Amino acid sequence: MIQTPKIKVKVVGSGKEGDPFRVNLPTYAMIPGSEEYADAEKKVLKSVEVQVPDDECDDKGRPDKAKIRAKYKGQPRWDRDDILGDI
Amino acid sequence: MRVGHISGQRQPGSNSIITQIGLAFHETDVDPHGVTSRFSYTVPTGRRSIFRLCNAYVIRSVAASQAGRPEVCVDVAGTPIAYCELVGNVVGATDRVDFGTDLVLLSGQTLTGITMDDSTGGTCDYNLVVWLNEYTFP
Repeated sequence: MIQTPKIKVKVVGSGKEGDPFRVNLPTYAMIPGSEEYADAEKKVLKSVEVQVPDDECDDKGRPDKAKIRAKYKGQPRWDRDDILGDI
Repeated sequence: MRVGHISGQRQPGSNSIITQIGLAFHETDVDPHGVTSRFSYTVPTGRRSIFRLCNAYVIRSVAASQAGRPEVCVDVAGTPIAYCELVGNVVGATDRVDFGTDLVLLSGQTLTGITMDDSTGGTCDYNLVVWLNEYTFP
């Protein structure tokens, strides 16, 4: 078993059906209790800590664009130049 | 996130390499919140994954002033495959699902684990566990 490092990333989405709060990464797992809110009263998420597969990270544990593009090569959503723009 | 490589194992009759993928979310006493993708898994290019087992539940831990319909679900390619929803406002009320399956996820398809609670006040406990076997084809 491999336990990858936790990284803080931006949350996108509105929290509605069809547009959930989410992270713009192909594979991730949110860390419970790590949520930061843009509006705490309305529970609008701003950022969260996640874990991502180690083969998608660079040496510092941050998502690596080249590795993600290679792993998801040919998939329109992830094989793009701007994939980490919202992270 | 847990990723296990099973050294030396092969699917019978092929040269596929198996990787185990474990996805989990567990949190107690969670306030009402919007629809949230707690985890996501996308099948890499050139691979396929078999969705092997799932455990999900939601439990009312503190009564709400106005109960909504707290839910926890697993979507595959945008379609729910596991779904739990609480109806009512009794502390300790629960809805859960446990199952094993052999659903094949193709390259590019995404599996997400989602929670939501549209209540006013109160809290719930959530659990979501999914295990997959990912196959690499030579």
